[in-house]
Amino acid sequence: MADTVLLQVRISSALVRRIDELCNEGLFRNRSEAISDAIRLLLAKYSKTSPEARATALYLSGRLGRVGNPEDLVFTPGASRIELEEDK
Amino acid sequence: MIVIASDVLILHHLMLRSDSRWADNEEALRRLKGSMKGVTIYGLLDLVGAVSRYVGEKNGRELYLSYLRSEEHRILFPHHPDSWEEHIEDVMKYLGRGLSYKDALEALVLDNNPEVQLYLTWRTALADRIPVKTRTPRELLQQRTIT
Repeated sequence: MADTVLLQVRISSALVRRIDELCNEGLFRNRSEAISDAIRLLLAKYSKTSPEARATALYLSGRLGRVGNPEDLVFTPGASRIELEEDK
Repeated sequence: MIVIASDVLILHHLMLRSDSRWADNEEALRRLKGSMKGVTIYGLLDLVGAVSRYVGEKNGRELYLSYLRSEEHRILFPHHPDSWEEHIEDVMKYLGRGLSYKDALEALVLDNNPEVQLYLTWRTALADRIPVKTRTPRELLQQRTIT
């Protein structure tokens, strides 16, 4: 058996009922297998997202720390000529 | 709340000193320092694209994160449509006023955020075609000098 850790988590009874239904249908052998599969999907989802996408999710949920002023961040472009969009 | 358009921010972040609008642009941003300003998500992404194009992707991404984390800026998002049907319905009224799709998206966000009072942009052609009053940085400076 792979190295496992006993993890105590609180899950709503409604969710547990849904998990049990999936187990009864034979999709998973038990709750642990179902929850492990769900966690694998979660990790796969976040391994594909960029730091910017994750920060956006945090921003929208109001959990991103606020610090500094981005206007202090200025850049010096090379020799290329830059023209802003015309006014139309 | 004043919402700052991407053209104003591009002038600033790419330090376009040779542009005739540079000095007024900088002075307007300097005067707004310390107050809460809005930037739409579309405006911010437009800025990130311009910065990435001229000074590289890494700087563009860094700037995006710094706006999200800013204490002085609120990033404004649109109402998320349930379907393309709804989205087409939403943008069509702005497209009908002759706005580009990009400007229509910007207008949608402004419409969805009632606390927006002013849109700061150099694009004077947007006046009367978007749901809030527009001012150029130069006009903003003149107005603030008078009042």
